[in-house]
Amino acid sequence: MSDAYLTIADLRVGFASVPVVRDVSLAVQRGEFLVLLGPSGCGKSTILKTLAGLIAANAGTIALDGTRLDPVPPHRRDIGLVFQNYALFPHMSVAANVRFGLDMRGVSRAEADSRVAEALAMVRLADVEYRLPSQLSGGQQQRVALARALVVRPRLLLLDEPLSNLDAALRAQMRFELKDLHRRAGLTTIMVTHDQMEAMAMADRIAVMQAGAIRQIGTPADIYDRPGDAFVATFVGTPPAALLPLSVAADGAVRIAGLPWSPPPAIAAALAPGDALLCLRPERAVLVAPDTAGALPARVVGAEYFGADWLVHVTVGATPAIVRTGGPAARGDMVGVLISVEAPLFDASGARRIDRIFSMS
Amino acid sequence: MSIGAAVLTALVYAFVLAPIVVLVFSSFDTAPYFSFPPGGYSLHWYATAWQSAEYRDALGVSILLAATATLIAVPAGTAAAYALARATWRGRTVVQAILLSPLALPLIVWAIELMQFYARIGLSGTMLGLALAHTIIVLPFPVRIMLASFARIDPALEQAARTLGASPLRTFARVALPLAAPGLVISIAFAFLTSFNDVVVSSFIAGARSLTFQVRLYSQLRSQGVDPITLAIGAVLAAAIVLAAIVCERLFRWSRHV
Amino acid sequence: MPLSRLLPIIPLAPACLLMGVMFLLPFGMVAVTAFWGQAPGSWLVDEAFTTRNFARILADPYFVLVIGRTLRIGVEAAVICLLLGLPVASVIVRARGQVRGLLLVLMLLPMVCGALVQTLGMLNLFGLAGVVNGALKQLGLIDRSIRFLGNETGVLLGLIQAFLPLMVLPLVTVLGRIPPDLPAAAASLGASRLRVLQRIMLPLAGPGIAAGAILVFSASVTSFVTPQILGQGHVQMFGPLVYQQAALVLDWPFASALCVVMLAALALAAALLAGVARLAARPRA
Repeated sequence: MSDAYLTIADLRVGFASVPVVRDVSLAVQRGEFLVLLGPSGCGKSTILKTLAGLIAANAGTIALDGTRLDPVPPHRRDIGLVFQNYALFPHMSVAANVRFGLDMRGVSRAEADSRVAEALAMVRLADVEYRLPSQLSGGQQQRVALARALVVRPRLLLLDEPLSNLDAALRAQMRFELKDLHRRAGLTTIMVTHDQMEAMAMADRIAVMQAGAIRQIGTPADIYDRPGDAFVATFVGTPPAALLPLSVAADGAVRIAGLPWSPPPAIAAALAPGDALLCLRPERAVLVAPDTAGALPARVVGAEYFGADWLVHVTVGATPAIVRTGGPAARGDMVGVLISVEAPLFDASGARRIDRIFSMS
Repeated sequence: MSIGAAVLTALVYAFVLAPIVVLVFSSFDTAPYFSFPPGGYSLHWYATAWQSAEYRDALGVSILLAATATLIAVPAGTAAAYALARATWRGRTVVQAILLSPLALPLIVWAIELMQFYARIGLSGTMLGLALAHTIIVLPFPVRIMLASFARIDPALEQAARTLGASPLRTFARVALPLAAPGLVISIAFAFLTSFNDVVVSSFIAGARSLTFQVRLYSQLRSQGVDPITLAIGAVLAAAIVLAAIVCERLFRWSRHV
Repeated sequence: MPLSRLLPIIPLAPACLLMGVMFLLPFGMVAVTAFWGQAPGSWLVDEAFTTRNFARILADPYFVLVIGRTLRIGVEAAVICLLLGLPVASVIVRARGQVRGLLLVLMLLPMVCGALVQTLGMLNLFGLAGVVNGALKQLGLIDRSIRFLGNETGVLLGLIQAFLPLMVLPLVTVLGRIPPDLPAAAASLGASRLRVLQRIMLPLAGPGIAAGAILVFSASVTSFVTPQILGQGHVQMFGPLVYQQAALVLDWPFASALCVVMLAALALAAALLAGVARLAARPRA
């Protein structure tokens, strides 16, 4: 067992025929903010509820701070969980909601009073303590749920899609506040989200999940710049990266998306005969004249204007791709797409990164 | 909405509610045998009813019986409903069907067999036997009503309580039960009224010492016809129930629970 | 089994125990005692297997007549309740908020006020000197009172008044689940009101109709108080008959056999209605 604060080893949840979580192993350091990122149904929330003891694991072990958690019932785990819909007790006031965990622990009245006030102050909600949850806005409910989980000083804080029920403006604000709170409280935190922007902005490390398994764990920069496989490469990044099929014949002739391509010498040198997938990020390519050396041959199918920039939709052969540009392009034009920064290369199945092609610059 | 449906609906409601209205109306008639239009109006029969020890005793038996049956059936039914609402094992629907079976199976058949069953185990004519029988006929109501009440509670609320340190028992007491409180009140009301209103089971197995108000009223109707005293008592009961039903609807929206 | 596995089912124990011992056990006895015999002129039950009770029911025109009449009245009550219940339920479903609650409560009042109290009111409403006859005489429409009670009309009136809620409630449930846009969508596609009713509403309301019909039918054929008080002893039905056999003649096995026959009829009716409902709700090509 490693010396990490939280260790999950070979965790399996669900039935043999329908596994929800498949043999997941994960180590989290004390004070770390880890984000489980993945599409809905990938098992990320299940891991959270298994950690809280609300779902029983079929196999594997969980250890927190050196002790096994598996045999501990949920109410003795001291793990704070903030639910996606907040799960505030509708029949209790804000103060009673926050105080609930302290009541369960038999904390004295005086101490409970001061800790509830402290927790509400921490989430900047001191003035609504006697209201019912139904009288609060979504953002306020979110803070109450947070205060309720924090007031018992949990050993681990779990956040299940905490921002998904807020409107866009509030989401951006709470994102920052949550991260700030984590910095101040220093709590080891695991957050689940399907929103990669949230994950990138908040995480110390991101674990990208798909179909019950972790595809890659790393810092946001690792995940974005050095994706481990084609799924991670396309799941992280908006708009998503394009995967262009690349083949190198024995004589060194290169075809991309079925079209002949003479890659720049630096790339050509890195290629070996065989098939591969080239990952093209919209913000890591530029549009150039079609006859530019090393550029991919492409045809413009449309452009969207976003104020700060344009998204030009092109096709390379039959494969669609997007390039973020500073200006428009006319539908039907032939253009060149020049890879401006390093682009990952995967094997033909997309399961493994095999190499990188470096741009000319 | 078509005019035809509205008119028909009004007529149906008039028909359904007419007996209660007529009952209250006729209880103020002075004559011992009601005829319409009445010769005069008085509270004579209310005064007589008030002094009737016979009916007072019967009402006492009915209330004691209904209270006993409710006191057993509501906690037992609530506990069972909670277990069923949170159950995931196979066969829970079978258990549920069994607990609700008195609503689906003809009670008269059961009452016939129960007479025989009681004769064999020596419960015939006893208050205990009657109370047990009433417990059975009221038990499905708390089961059904509380099952629906517990099912409406977001499972995340109870999970939240668990992660905050509440044991399963305290989670039930502090979260599930308070949130199902309206269902509990309605269960108590339905259980009590079902027992209080029962005629068939009581008249089959009631002993001479445990005649309920309904059995007394029934035998009176069979042998002598309408006794104006019963009109007065019936009018008071009906008025009280109607009032309670409307007040409870304002407070708990009970009509959504049936 | 470890305690932690048993814990979630312990709360079921009291209710299941009560129901098993006090309800299912006696109820199940009916299938056994129906095949017992009784020595003639004696109250002693002979626990040897015999089908004599059933042979006696079939051989005696009186019992066949009573059971047949009971079933017929049950069908009549169910059909009339359906015809009255459909428009009432559709009005309730379309009402909003407080009005809907009030309409439901008023519909349920006969059930919560108790059968006998209702019967008292029915007697004074439809009796020879009752409100209806009195009013008709006052209006000069009749000279002599109409006999509503003491015949099948009286019993039917009583059954409909008492059991109409059993039809309306399931109808309100199923009709309430039909999105209000559905009939409008069908109409916009060119369906006439009759076709909307036939192709959209009835198939979707099928399960509610079947449920209501079986509830009213079952309650009617096993009713006890109504045939006696409103039939005034002139309309013998299954309920009073079986009580008579069990409690007065003291022929338990024969009463049980009558019960078995009635249970079989109920099961048949339920299966029939469920089949019809499934047929009505089947996907159309």
